[in-house]
Amino acid sequence: MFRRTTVIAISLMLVLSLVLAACSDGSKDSNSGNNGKGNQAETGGDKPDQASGGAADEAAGVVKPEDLVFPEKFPDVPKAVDYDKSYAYDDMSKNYTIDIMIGGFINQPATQDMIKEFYEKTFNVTLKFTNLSAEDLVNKTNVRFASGDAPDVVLLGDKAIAQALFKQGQLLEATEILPYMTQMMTYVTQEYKNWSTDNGNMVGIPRLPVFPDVWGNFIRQDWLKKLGMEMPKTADEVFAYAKAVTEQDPDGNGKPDTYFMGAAGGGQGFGMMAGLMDMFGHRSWNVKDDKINHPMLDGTMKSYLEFMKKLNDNKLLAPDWYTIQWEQFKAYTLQNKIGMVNYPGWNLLQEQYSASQNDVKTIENWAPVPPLSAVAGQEGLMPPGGSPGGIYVISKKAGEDQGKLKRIAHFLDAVQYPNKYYWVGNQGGGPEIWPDYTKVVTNEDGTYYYESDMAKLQNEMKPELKGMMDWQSLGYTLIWERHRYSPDVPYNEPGDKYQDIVRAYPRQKNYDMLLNLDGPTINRLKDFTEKNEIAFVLGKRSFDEWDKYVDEWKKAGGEKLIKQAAEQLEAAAP
Amino acid sequence: MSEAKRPSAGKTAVVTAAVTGSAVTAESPGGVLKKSLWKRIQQHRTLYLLFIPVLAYFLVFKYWPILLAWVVAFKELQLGSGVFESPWVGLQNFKDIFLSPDIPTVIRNTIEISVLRLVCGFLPPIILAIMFHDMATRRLKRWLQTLVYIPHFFSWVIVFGVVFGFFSVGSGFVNNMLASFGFDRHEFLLDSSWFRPILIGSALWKEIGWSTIIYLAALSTVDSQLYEAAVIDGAGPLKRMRHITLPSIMPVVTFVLCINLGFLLNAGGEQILLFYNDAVLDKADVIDTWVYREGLARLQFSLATAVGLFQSVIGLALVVICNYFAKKISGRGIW
Repeated sequence: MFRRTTVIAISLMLVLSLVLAACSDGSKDSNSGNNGKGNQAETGGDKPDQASGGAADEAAGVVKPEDLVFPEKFPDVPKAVDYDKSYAYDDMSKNYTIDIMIGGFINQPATQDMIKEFYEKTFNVTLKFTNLSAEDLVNKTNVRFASGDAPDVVLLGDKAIAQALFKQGQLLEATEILPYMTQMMTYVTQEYKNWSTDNGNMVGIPRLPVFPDVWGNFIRQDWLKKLGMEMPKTADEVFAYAKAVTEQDPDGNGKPDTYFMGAAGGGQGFGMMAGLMDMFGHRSWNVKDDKINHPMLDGTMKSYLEFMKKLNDNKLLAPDWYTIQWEQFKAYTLQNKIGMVNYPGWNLLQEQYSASQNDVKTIENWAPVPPLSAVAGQEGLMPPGGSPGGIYVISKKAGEDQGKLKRIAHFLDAVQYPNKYYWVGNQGGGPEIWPDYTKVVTNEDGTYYYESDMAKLQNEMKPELKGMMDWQSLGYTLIWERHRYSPDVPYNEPGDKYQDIVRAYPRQKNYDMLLNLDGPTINRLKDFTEKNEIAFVLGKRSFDEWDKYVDEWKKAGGEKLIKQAAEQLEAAAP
Repeated sequence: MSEAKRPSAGKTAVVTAAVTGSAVTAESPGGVLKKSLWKRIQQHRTLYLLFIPVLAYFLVFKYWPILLAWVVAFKELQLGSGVFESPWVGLQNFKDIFLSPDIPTVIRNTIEISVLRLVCGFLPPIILAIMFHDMATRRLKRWLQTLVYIPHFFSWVIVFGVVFGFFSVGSGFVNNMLASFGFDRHEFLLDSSWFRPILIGSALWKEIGWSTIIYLAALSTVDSQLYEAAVIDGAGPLKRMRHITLPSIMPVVTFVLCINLGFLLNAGGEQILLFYNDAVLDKADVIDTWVYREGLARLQFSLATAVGLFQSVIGLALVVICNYFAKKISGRGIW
């Protein structure tokens, strides 16, 4: 009898636990952190706070969404907002759990995340932080929204995903949270607003770019000298340099082991070699003679691919140039095997200096290439600039609790440049995290630099803490960052100078900021074009078929986008 | 045989009956007594009670998702609305799939790669298992078995790292060998014609050892007296393999073949996702990778579910057909 009762009891318990497991809502887990917060949990946790708002917001000086004023341009000298006044709407009494997902570059949790601890203490929040690679971020985000376990904030790199999620009714209209974000409102320009608006709805908040138009082609000027060549200006001169680099042994080691360039995109697109397209024309949607234009329509893409084929046929590109990953390709670059790269100037000099065991002469190896042109005498242009560095999206679920929404706004706004807590999460931790090693110096022109003992900091920054560095994806931008000029960091001054030079080059007009094209069609076309473009370069498709290919492109969605772009830019059809 | 041993003989009969699918019941080895299901449940209610969690597990985690998948395939899934509140769209998802210009290539690639996997991956584990079985030195056998099992535990990311290390142009082992013999280096990873051999070869390297386990288990049940008798009768190794080993494991071989056929439209998406690049997409894009891109990355879950349903139906049909022919030809099937 006892045995039978036991069996029955065990069976019932198993059934119960199974049913409970099946019916449990994963989304609840993210809020369960409050239970472990002792007194904080007793203060109310994440209970909806619909009562707040309204009169309290007015008293705190919060504007209505319809009264938001979007600036025409970034401030000349950014200033931090009046912190206490700007966030008076948030009484900070309750603890909220905020679930944040971002695309990082370390993408592993830190064993002791001091930045997270600082934020949690300062903002009275419990943070759930997920850092993933760009592709994983998209997939994970989609799965979480689909399973009803939506995160509160996601920083996406691709606007199309934000559009799709918004269409599915999953996201909060950004103008509902922006009134609480006074710092953010100093740089969400009218252009940024247009970019993030789809069918009249602002689907997210544009993020400042980390690297603001500082990517450029850099050439080995020591090799140019050795080869007796001038800085290339045209496509033919670039090709001549590429041939000389590969065939004339500029490093003088007697081995055929130097190459012009590589895509380093891991088999997905032309990566750093995409910049060469600018020699031949505008790389994206544009208006030409009052008609809508695209590189597929005016021969820009064809000329570019023919040039790429020429480089490949002549074996001027690095081994595995198309399939190799970015980090693996760095080994070629920093071991003096590559003649041209597309890079942010400061990073290139810093990495080259470190890789050469602090050989100061290596800093002089690289120099930026002025905008190239296919035709001699014609002015070259850099690619379109001024694009945002991603888009913050806020889940609708997060917006259901006004108190929580305000805390999210408060937190996100406080980590924007140059607000009070901007430096906390950057570079693996600012002065608040590493007071012995890091100091921030602000300049009168609105710029700043870190006065840090990098050697000591890197020694302290154990591998298990590296995941902390991904917090900088939240708000870090180089727009206003300068570097300390000193003999112990000899790459800082030329690095900054090169970035300024590249940023000052004339650029193609950025029509993409004015467009909101159909996201799924763009994505589908991307698959279609990437596989065909490499087929042309490798000779699997003949350029005799080019017109046929353009027709295929139109049928695959190009025609639809042409119509949309023409309509939105008020240009005639081609 | 003593009376005390009879129940165990009865149990053996029950197990055999379960495998062969005969109508002999547990209660009556002779098949005389037949009880209604309800009476059997009453008689063994404790055992059935213990079975409830198992049943519940399969219902909740296996059959309920299948039902949901059937529903979603005919709906346009709205994330905010959930499965049952989302609007019905009839066969629209299937139309979208079959009208997609990529689909003919994707289905062709899927079938070709799956058939290649089946052809190239089916016999080697059987041969390897027989070799292990016939190996006289136990220590060497165990050492070799461990060696061939290890790759199974590598993730596909690691396997791709190994493949890249072998076939990359710059420092790849194969290209270094080619260069040392005076041949030109070759872009294997950009060459469509090399994609499938590399894919199948690396999959075989990873799984061949693990796949031998089921055959080794089957071989371990073969009565060693049969081999001893065959040796006395003058049968050599090949004849012993032909007349004893192969017939003994044939039910398992049939079972594995039928099951593998059920996965004909699942060409190994995870491996391909890691191995392919734009240059080989025309030979590499399969249903799983297409679903990954269109469904997961672009929020078209209904489309992805419809493709999954299509795969399942085709897979089930192939298993049924294979089982039918297996029974017809050899008299053995999986049910």
